[in-house]
Amino acid sequence: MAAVLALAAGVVLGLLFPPTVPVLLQPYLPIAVVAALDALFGGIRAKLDGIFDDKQFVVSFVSNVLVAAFIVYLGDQLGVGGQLSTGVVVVLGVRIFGNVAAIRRHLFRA
Amino acid sequence: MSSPPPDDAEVTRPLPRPDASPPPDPETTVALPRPDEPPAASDPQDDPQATRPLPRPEAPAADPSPADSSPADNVADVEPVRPWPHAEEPGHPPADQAGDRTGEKAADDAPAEQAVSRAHDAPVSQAAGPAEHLAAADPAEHPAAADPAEHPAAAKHFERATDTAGDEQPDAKPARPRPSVSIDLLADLFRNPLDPGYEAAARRRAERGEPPAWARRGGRAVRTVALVLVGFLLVVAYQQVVASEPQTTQARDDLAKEVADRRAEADGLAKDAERLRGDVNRRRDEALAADPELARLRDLEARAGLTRMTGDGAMVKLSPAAAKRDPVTGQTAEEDPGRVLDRDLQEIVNALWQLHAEAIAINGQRLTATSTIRSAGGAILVDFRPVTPPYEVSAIGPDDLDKKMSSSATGRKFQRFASLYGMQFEVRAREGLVLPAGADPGLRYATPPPQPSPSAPVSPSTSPSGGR
Repeated sequence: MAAVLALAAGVVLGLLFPPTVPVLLQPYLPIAVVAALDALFGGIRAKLDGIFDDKQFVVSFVSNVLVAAFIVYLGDQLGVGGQLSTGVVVVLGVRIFGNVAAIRRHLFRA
Repeated sequence: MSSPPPDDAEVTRPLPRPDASPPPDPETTVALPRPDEPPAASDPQDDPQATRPLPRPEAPAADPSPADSSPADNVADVEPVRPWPHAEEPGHPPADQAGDRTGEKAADDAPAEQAVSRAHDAPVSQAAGPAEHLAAADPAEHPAAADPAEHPAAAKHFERATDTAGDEQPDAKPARPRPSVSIDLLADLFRNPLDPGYEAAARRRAERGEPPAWARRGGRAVRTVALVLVGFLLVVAYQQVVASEPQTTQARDDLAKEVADRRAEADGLAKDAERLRGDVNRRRDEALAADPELARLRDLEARAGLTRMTGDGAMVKLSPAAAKRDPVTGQTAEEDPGRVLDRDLQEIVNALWQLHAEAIAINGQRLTATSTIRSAGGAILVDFRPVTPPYEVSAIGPDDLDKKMSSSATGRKFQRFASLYGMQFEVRAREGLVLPAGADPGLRYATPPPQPSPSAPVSPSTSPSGGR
């Protein structure tokens, strides 16, 4: 419950104080969101599995976002552009999908 | 998400040693090594989790949730670490069903089992995916690992595992090797979407007991901050997308609007010009009312496309064939012989001129002696204004213009095109065609060449030599 409230608080915060994202950081935002979603769903699933761990969640969130951003940056620098980010999206997408499937099985037993 | 077919996994992975015995049948290999026999453990260096001691069944339950909910779903995804007591049961269920099955079992079966599955979810997975597990951890791949002397760590781990298992369940089997690290990365990703860190943390907790209260409070605070950040990030990204979308579409809309505005402006100016021209013509007609030259002037004007013309004639209608689509990809073919090209229109127009047409317009755009018909990209431009299919070439001319056109070489050629490529081509007689005036060619003034010497006589060509 507290987690949902915290999430909602973050949303409200973002709505109340919409920050101006520096142009330099803009390309990293979408991939950071995907990484954050991966951490989020991983956390939810771990919670449902009963093995949730605060440290693990925070570390996975921070590292996911940073690594995803770094890969996008690397792709830009290497000139392969979106292809590296495609890799990130695929990997994270697969994980999100798997975790959501597990959550679904928890919740609906189907 | 669940187990890939074991057959595939076996086929794609080459056996390390050609002389190694073929992988045994999954059903038979489920009979695990006896407790007094070392397990075929994978290299501890490769796989730190394999050496990690397993939680004892009597360890406190890491999760207060009911036993039938937590194991049920792990089954498919958690790495097998330890044998499920009932692993030797024949007919292993597919991963998804196994969840339900184990759930039921936990509910109505021995309480010892419940304790095991509560203490840690990992054991349950053995029941779920023995088939895939076997496929992955082919014993032939670790022939050396079977020797405890070579891998003391593995042997030690085995001892611990058997200790715990032996205490509670006499029929329990020692730890199975974890799937080889060489396993396909993607397959691993599909099987274990959950960060293994959670499992490790839960195991640590089970070992050392719950962390102190301050640590838990701190953890909760940090978690809350992270969640707030996640929510914040989501909103920011959403707003960013919403904000950046208008930029892209707005630029397009602005450009389209500008084009439309300018076009309307040009149309208005053209109408103005036409009105003024009509004015001029009327005044001229008044002035030259008695002059026999007037009729000739009008005739010439009509032929030059400078006045609106009404009359009978023919209309040639030409439209492209429907673009062929590839039935599989849905893409239009690169080569499209049924397309109408600028060349086609040029040919038709020239044929009409040749048949003594007096005035021609394409889609209401009057052609003059200086008109151009060309293509730019996929569009056809007549006097730099785009025309779109169906192309209607109206011509005022002799009465039998349509018949002559149909029987001309060009007409026959296009009829053949129509039957071959599915273009539409028809020639019809039309009465009362109204063709607008063509674009004003603009007056050109001659200018004197730079005078080499002031003594040269003044050229008479400084006066306007009108375009009309």
